[in-house]
Amino acid sequence: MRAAEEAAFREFVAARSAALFRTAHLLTGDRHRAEDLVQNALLKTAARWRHIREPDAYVRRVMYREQVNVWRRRRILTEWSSAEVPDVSAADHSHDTDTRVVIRAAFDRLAPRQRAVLALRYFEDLPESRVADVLGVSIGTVRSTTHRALAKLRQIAPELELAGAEAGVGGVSR
Amino acid sequence: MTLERELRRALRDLADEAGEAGERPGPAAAVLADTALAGAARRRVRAASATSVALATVAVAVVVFAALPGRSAGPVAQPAASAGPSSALGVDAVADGPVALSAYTVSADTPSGRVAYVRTEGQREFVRTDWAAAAVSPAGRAIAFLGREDPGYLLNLRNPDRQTTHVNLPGPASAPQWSRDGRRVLVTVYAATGQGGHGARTGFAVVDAASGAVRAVDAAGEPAGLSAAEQEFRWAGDGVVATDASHDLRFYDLDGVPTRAIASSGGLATTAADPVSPSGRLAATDTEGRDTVVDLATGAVVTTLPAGLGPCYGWYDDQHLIVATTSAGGTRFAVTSLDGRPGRVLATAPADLAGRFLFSPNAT
Repeated sequence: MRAAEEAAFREFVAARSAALFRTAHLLTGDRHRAEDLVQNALLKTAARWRHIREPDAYVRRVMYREQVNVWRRRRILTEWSSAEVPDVSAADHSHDTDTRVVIRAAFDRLAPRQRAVLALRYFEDLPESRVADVLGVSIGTVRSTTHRALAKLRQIAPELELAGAEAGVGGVSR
Repeated sequence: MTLERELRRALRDLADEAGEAGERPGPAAAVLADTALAGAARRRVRAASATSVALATVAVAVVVFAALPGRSAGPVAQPAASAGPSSALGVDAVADGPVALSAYTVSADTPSGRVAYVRTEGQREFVRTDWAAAAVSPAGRAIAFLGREDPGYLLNLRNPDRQTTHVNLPGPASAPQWSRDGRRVLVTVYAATGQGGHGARTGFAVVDAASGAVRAVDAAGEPAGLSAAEQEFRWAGDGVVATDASHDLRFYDLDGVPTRAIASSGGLATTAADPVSPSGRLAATDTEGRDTVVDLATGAVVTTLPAGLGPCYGWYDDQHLIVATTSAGGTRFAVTSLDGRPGRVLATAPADLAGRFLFSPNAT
């Protein structure tokens, strides 16, 4: 890599690493795994830097796909361990229930692709066509996955809807 | 919609856990960059030892692509491995008729993350290009395409004699779309950003296919909050239409003067390259994730497709949509009546083939 390209790459990392790390943290729920995910994606990006015109889109695509694949490999393990997660919705009915804790626990119980699709739809705010693009699946798959993921969230954490309805906009997170 | 709203906020909160208040999340950028650059350098050393194998692959690819049309301006030799064999739709997957599948894009390991496959009228098989986006003209003989980047600053127009004109655009632009008369191409223009991606749309440009003349129009239309595909301008009769930040439909003439607006909850169907029907009376729209049809005279939703159907890829004629249905066996693109009854299948694709699918009228 030439000095100018290397400088551009460093500039890109300086500008975007915090945002990438936020996404990675959302996807992994773990600081160390988030670091690994960002670092690996940046390595792949550096290796192809000369050919990449949209580095931010490229590195995100790598991160999301890698994460879905990691999850796919860990699927059996994940399903086993999620069976042991206490039923959050039943655990705490007090008004002090922290929405964030509920969502984190519920989000962690979703299947890999479900998590990725929800993150792309509701965190990155991408339309279905772009979600399909990032993950390399069809729009039909994105739709059915979103539908099933939301249904599962409603099932795992029914108070999410109640919390929103009672508290109104901006009243829940503390 | 309460769950969705809560989810948006909760996911932002979760992501914020990455860094405590005021702290920059994650490791220092310089460390990340150093590690990535060092790792990439090691990879290059390993890759060099495998060069002889790679050369053999390229040689094969050149032979294949040399036989394809328009090689000088179009498809560039490259190993086809990145998109995989399942990306090329076979001859049997596509039905010919008054309206047929003429181009589609799939994910690939390229700068834009996509490559386009096209077939012009009379061609039975799709050709893999290295273009990020392409559209075949309604008469079926000309192609408008971006280069390897999407958005790109250059619109390429290939006429039926396979001569290509390169047209400079006023800014990064995406998604070329032919007018129904095949004389003009519409692109959406965005604000340039320094690093990656593109900014909000700033307007659109209309390119005359015969002369290459560009008419650029500033019509930002307050697109804040819209995602990339929702930002695109589409043809609407003699003018254009775009979804605004509230998901309402806003119509403009070709000088960028607003002509009218129609309230909508989800905006134009992003999967349809031509969401407005041939007569200009109806538009395919999205309402809470369901496919709907809006009567442009009254603004009323006249049709909501059954939940299992969709998304919509445009119009077959004024009484029929082109609607996809995905099952384990694949995605079927069927001519579908406005009451949701699927008819003739125009194309089938593997269920996991992602990207845009463009249907265009053939010459009769």
